[in-house]
Amino acid sequence: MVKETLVKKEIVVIAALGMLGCRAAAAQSSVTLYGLISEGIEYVNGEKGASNIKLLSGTMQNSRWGIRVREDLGGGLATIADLENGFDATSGAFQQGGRMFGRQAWLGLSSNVYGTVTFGRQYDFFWDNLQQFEAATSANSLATHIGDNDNAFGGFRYNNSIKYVSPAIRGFSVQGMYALSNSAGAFGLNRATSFGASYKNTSMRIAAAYLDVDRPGLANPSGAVSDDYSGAPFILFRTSPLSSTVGVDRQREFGAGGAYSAGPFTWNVLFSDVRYRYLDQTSLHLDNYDTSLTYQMTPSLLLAAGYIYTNGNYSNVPSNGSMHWQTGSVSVTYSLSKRTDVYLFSDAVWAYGARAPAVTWLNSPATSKEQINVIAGVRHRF
Amino acid sequence: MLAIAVYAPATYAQSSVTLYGILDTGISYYNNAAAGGKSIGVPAQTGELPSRWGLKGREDLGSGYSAFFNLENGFQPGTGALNYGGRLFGRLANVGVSGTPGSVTFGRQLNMTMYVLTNADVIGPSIHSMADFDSYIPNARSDNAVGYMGTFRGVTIGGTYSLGRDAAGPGGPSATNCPGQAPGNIVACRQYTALFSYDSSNFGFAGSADVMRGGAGALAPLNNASFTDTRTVLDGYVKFGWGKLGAGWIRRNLAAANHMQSDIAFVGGTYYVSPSIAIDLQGVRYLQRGVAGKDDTNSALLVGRANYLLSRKTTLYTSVGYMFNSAQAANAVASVGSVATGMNQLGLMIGMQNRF
Repeated sequence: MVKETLVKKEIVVIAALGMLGCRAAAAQSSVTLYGLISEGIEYVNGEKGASNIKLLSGTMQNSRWGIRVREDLGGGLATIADLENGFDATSGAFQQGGRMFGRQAWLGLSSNVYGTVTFGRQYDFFWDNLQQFEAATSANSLATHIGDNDNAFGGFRYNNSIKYVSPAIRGFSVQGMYALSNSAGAFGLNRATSFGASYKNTSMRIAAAYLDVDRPGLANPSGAVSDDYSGAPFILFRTSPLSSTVGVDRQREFGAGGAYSAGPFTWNVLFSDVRYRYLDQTSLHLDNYDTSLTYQMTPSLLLAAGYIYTNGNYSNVPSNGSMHWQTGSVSVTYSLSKRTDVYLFSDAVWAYGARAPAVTWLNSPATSKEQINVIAGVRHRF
Repeated sequence: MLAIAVYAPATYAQSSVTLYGILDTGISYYNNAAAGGKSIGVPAQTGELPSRWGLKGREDLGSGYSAFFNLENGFQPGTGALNYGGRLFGRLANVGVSGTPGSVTFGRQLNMTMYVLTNADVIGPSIHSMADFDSYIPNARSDNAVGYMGTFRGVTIGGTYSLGRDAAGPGGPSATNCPGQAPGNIVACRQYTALFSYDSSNFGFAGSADVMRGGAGALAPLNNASFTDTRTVLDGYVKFGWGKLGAGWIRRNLAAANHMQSDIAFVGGTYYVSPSIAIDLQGVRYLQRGVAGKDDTNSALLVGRANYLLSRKTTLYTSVGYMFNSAQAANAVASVGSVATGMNQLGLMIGMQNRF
């Protein structure tokens, strides 16, 4: 139980005592209230044929607050938990389908020797392992792999999931996750499996991930991946190219990436191979090639640029099955403090092929084959 | 990041705001589901206890009086979703004053049907429990309520009066869409509950009454202001060095479009194998009379549960339930589960709970 004492007259004294208490307790057990708010103003061209100006929440990481719990049980064993709410800072509304803790809600045990097992609503290993190499994250922009087609940007999360992460041995770790369908008599209806492997040392990080999702969406709304797969304002590739009412039968993907740091420069690369099979036997194969470079010009000024080439091919469609996209981003981020930064960035998407929409993240598709946005915003962490 | 102190200095203990919670989740199995086959999944509503987080505060007013508030959210750890019909503070949202003459509470609060079972029901709102027969039991809360409770030499008296008992939903037993307080129908959705109990250091007994009215648009069968649902509870418990025994009886009379009367009788105990291992056992018999089923929807439930305390705050547990359904009965062994009519059912759960 966490107590914060509030006495009007002596609130400053109490705050100081609170901090002392926290420092003493941190080694043993802790309950931490934390959050991140990011908001920006965006200009985007060609959205449904017209340019638009909007205020957006989550322009540099999605807005969130949460409660993180750690209780040391002795012998290298600890209870860990995280409850994380996602909200829209422009309206105050719940995100992730009105959930209380839509971003994460999990509880588990962590051992120095045997690894960590957690239960709840969690991310896959495209997020845990590969998101760090995606231009949208590494280059401080919103340059996702078109439509976040590989979920590396965490567009959906997994209900009813059990996750294992091994301890890091010489920087090397392996991971596995299974998300249950919760469906009586139909064990495979809306379930997911993910695996990962990662390695890091002082100058280099390398990681890989695999994901297999069966029948995501609302056919089984209490399954692993439900409303946040089918319910967002715009989602590419999650219905058949021939019918917007025919959903995904299976999504399977593999990805690998890495980052290398030398002085003020960090170079990131990421590749992913994504296959969608729809319920009408059409299918889609996408390959994403992503690279980005960041330059820490001064301790508070970061310059970054990213480029993504995505190649796509529909099967079992009558015509125009093949397409590709180019996505680029440039950004400037200036840190006002350790917890607050301001940023200016631009993303651009060029689409090639009759079935390829041009759309930047958080926007509606362009009527043309090109869309460019410019975003200026602020991010604060607590 | 703001790490809040884990303990408050003693000098300021009189006035405080506390952030707290319980996370409880695991894996549940049951056979003979209504759709056929078995179910393996993460429980939606409760493991051993429903998951929650909350803020509670107390301010010393002097002369033995204090003001208090409770704001408690209920959520599903498997999906992150809100429980209790989408309410932010679906478990508790109230403010009041307490002192030696007792406490007065305004707002959404636990009512006396919840308090009366606190000691005698050793299983509580667990995944396999007597809530299988009456899902109101773990949801005995009243909206728009004024409550009183006071304890004098071991005797506790309490009551709630609600002007509109359940303002959210309809979304099941925790949100029945009976907001009341509507012009032109002053009795719709009213509810009163009353409690008398006696507790000594090694035994106690309690009795309660709970009368709720329906309202137009509320979850069936209470969809008319002239319909009533009444529950009377009598129970008791005895404590021993090794644990506790508890037993009780719940009579329900539902006067709606169809009349229904049911009895739940339960006997159970808690045995402490060691300071860190506790075993709970309970048997529950359910008898139902009325047009719905005469004598053929009766059931019996056996529940066994083992708790292993890893620390003061973290527990690993396993629960086993077995439901004996008579020919026309379809009472599922697990919370939010299902069962094929007339089938017996085995339910298993392994889980983990952390309190912070």
